Amino acid sequence: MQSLLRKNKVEMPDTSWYLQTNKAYSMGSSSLFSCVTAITVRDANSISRANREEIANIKSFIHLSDNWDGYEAAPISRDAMEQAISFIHDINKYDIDVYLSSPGPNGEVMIQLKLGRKEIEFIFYSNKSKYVLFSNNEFQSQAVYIPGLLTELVEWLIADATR
Amino acid sequence: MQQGDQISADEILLRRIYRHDKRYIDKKTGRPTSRAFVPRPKDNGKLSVDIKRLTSFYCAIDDQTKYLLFSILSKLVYDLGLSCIYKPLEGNLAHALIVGFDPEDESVPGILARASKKEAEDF
Repeated sequence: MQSLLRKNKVEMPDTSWYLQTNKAYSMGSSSLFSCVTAITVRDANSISRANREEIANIKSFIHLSDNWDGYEAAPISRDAMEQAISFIHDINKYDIDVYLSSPGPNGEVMIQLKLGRKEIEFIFYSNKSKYVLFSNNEFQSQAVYIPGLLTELVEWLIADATR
Repeated sequence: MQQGDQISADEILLRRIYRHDKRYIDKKTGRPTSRAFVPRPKDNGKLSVDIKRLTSFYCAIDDQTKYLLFSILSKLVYDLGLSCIYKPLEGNLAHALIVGFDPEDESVPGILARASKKEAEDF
């Protein structure tokens, strides 16, 4: 079994999964992989209380109709909500709790992850998804989000997060 | 200052943040989320703010049961490649617009939210 915490770059295929005592550890081969690559994965059927609460919060956005913030905000897109909830199920498998979820004035849903000094905002619209990285409250980078990037982004989030 | 004039880089700008149900607020810290600094469809890529030195807390917040008031520096707006234009309204001579938002750039609302400071009642 591979060591759970690796600091040296290892040649591995993308998203290989190693199972050990009901837990899986993803060892992706990305540019971030050389930093830290220990990702705990929850049982897919076990959603944390915090993530269940965020899912419930997002489901409540269905009640936000036109002008819900008093300044003509658009209703929240059903597609955006479904993508956000699907994302929470995905991130839950990495044993990570969503920090917060927030509706947006253009019908989008924003989900924020926070670990120590690092934060990632995921913004889900009906027709696109983006992510933005912050460290020490400073902007780092942004790009289009696709689910295939999640392992790499989790690796970035957990690497030296508390330093 | 005339309508359409560019605001100087040493102003403090006030943004009303919708507080009901804390939809735009981080419930753990009381700070606004990035979504509070996103232009809405009707604003056509512009973000409404008030110039602090031209208003009072009570005029700027309008309704304390619905809103919180946060400030950002106009210098940050210019540093981000945006601009700020004086746009007085009937009943609100302090009103201005932050312009130049790129809808594909999701970093700016997050940067503004993180740089904002909550305004107290006694300014």
